[in-house]
Amino acid sequence: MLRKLPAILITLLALTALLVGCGEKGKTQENSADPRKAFAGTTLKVLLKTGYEAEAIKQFVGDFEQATGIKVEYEIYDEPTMRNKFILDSTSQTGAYDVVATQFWYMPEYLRAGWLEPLDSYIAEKSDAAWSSVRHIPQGLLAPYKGSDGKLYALPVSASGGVLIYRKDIFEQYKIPVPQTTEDVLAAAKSLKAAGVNVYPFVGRGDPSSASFGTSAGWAWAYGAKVLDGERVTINTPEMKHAMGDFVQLLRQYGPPNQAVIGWDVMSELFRQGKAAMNFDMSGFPSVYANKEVSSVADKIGVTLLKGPGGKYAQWMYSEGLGISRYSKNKEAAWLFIQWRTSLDVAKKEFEAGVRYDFVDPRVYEVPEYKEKTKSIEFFTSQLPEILASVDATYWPAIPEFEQVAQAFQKEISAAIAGSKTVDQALAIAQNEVEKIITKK
Amino acid sequence: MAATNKKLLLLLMLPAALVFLGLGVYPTVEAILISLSKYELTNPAAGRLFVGLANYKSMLADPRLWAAIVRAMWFMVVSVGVSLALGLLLALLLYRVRWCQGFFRIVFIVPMVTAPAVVSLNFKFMYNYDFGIINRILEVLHLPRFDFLGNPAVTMWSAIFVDIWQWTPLVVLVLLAGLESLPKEPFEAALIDGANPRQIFLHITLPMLKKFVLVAAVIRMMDALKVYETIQLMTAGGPGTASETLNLYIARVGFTWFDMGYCSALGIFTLYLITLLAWLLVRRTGVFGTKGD
Repeated sequence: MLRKLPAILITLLALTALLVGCGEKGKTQENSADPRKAFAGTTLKVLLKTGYEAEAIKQFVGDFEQATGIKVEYEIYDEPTMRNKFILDSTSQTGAYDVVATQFWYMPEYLRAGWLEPLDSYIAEKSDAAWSSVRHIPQGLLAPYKGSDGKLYALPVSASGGVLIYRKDIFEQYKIPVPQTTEDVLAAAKSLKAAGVNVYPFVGRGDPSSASFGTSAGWAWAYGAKVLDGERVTINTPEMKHAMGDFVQLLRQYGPPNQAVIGWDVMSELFRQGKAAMNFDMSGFPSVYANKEVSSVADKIGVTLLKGPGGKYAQWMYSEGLGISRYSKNKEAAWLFIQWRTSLDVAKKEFEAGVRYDFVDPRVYEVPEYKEKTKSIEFFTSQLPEILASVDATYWPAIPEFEQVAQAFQKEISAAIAGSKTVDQALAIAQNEVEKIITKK
Repeated sequence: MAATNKKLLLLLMLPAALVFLGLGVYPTVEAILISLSKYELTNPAAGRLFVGLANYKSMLADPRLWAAIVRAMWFMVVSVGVSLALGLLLALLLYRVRWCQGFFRIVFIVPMVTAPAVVSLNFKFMYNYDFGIINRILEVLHLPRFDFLGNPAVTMWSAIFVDIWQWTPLVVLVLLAGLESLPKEPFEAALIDGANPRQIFLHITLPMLKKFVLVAAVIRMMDALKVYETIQLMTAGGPGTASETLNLYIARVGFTWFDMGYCSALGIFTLYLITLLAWLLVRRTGVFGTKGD
């Protein structure tokens, strides 16, 4: 038996080679028939952040797998964990992830490090005619994903502006006019409190994390204040003092007592449970608040834009995209996935399933089914073009050190909301710390 | 023969020595080298530049660091102090009252074996001002709601309470084992001599239990200084930096800002700080037979 072993092994090897050869031939024939099947058998690793952007992938990724034969393994984390995983994977150059979610505020950091693959050649040479939506996305929404070389490094999946979301029923009950300015918001909060309303007049983000920086910085822009003016730190200015004075007063006097540790999750929970009358945040939230499955105030909300004393719109700029890791070994398959995720097909599924109603591809708003589906929240969807047009990126500190700058600023605002510092003290400390970060750069 | 045995011993020790060198010595040396560099993971083009003691000098002028150290010390002193006192009391009770002792021992193990992340998240929900069960109970009792996590004057106490809740059982179990190992004769002699319970406790039980108390204190001290999940998951160091301790700050520098040079300097500093504190405690008190034996 032992003497026959080499012969048996050789025969088995030959048979295996024959089978593999036949399999490959079959696969090639199949591939040539359908270009979407070109990467069948590939496994894509996708790194995502929690939120409605990831929800669509969870719900509909089976369609992509069926259409392409590509297996998708996704991981969903909170934003800091997701960023850590991408950074650690990129610095070790292992290519553990093929596709990564990219929040616009981290793009300068990722681009400086060179961790994302430019998409221009894929767009020019490897576009899927039915799935590709890049030519329909407004240039302004693509801008945060472009490098200084003019190349595009990610495709946006979502984009938000800043809106005030308010309870129509409460405002009608107390005969309070819908706020149009930041001053109106303060006046409305004061009136509601004086009238003894049984909910918090206002709720927003006040915790010390960088994810809450967008609220305070966006509110400040309505007053003409911003954190950085080029390389100059402009935190300790009269405009910022005015803006943060109003903002801290709003949260401290009219928000929940634990407002200084409330992030987006608790804020959203409070509003959805009908415990707050107003909420200033990104325009992605009305979709969530209007979803009857998760919100007890779904048919009671109104949405409006706010202007401040500086004559500018209050901002909550946010955008999330998908990019290809520079170290991915499946870049073309990853590109196919990104095209599918940003396609009109998936967008239709998203609004049909009630996942969200705000999109970066304006074609969605012209789809008859979209108009039918969003009739009940037309008050919001009809404002979307105006909301996106109000986005003004000039106030945002688009630098690789964003995380440090945002935390240095926001922790001080959080402390002021908690009452452990005055606004002036908080801004003076933040000015000093951000100057150090910028100088160190 | 002796030489052969010596060679065999060295050979047998080699795997352990290699593991120690690879997992203990090398990372420490590497961390020291990184602490002497300017090295940001998110800026690979800048590389790793030798800057000497610049990171250590930055530590001296970093008010956020010193505030975090003060908070960490405060956390440690209160948490360890209260858990030792409470642990001693509970251990004496369990030792005296034999009723359902097995059951209570199992109950005491539960907080210790629960992952700190699970404990912290549960307490975060229980402390919640609007939805938390503690405030619901206060409401039912017609008492005002209380802001456990958003009030800078209270937030550290809320975190300390969680730490005490989770780790007092460890002290109980260590001291209970100590009490059960004590010889009976001194107690019998004291009773015959007419000593009262207070005198027996102060002059016999406590001195004989000293080593067990110190072992529990050293373990708790090191744990309390290393606290991370409890605070990170409940307040993320907020409001502002009101609950930011040393470990939270180090994690922020290393894994949010990716400033590996400064983070390593902070890590080395913490290593020496904990070693110094543990050494002082052990040396001064003579536990583990370093003094007085």
